[in-house]
Amino acid sequence: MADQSRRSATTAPILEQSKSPTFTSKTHLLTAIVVVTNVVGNVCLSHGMQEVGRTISASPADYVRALFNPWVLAGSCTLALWMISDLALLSRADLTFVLPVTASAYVFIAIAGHFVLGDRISWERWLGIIVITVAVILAEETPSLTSKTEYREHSQ
Amino acid sequence: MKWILVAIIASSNTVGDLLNTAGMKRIGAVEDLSLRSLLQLLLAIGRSPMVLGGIAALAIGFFAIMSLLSIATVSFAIPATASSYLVETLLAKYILKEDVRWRRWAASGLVVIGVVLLRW
Repeated sequence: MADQSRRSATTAPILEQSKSPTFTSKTHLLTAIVVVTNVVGNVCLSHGMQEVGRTISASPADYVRALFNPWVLAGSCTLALWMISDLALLSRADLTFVLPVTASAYVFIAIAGHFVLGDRISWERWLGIIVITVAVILAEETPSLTSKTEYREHSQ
Repeated sequence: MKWILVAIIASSNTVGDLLNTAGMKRIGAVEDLSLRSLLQLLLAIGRSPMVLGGIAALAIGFFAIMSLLSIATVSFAIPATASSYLVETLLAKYILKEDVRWRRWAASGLVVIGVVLLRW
């Protein structure tokens, strides 16, 4: 019981603050950055790895060699930015909010794959694009932060 | 071989996401993306065993995805790893104590269905 009240004391201010429009719009901006870096990174990496060819190896040297391909290098750097922005987003939002909302990346990857890499989009894939878009809208409507785990206020 | 890689990717993504979410909540909300706060974020991450562990798990998944992308198309690789969404939602509800109601369940279910449809 004592533990319960200590917990709610530390989580309550941030949960309250997370409902403010400023907090929400920052979270949405960060979400957009996460999605864009994910799409650009994956499309570059996919294009590069197809150029490099088969790579299944336990030796890190083979992956380092793949990095000499400019597409693989650009993709990896962009995905490093994705990692940082995704962590920043997870510091202010629930995992079950972040996962479906950032799934919009799949839609953009499919569309980018069509226009940039020349992948065909069948009617099943269009249906998939619509279904994921509905999922993104559903998740967007939920409050971005509800987690009741230990939450520290920003110390700086 | 394809499906072994898929299993490695799905489980390392699940572990990585859970550790990162729990670790980042302990670090505290990132307020802006200025250079200064990014450096502070990187320092805080360097001191957080949870987030370092999470990144390590995602790194394993990343190399597995790179291998998978070299033997399969992106239209196979990305959807095949989406199976972890429902498991992650369940674990987030019970371990991270997130408020998962029907909208979020429906959202993760629809993402899995949508991503499987994208395979075609």
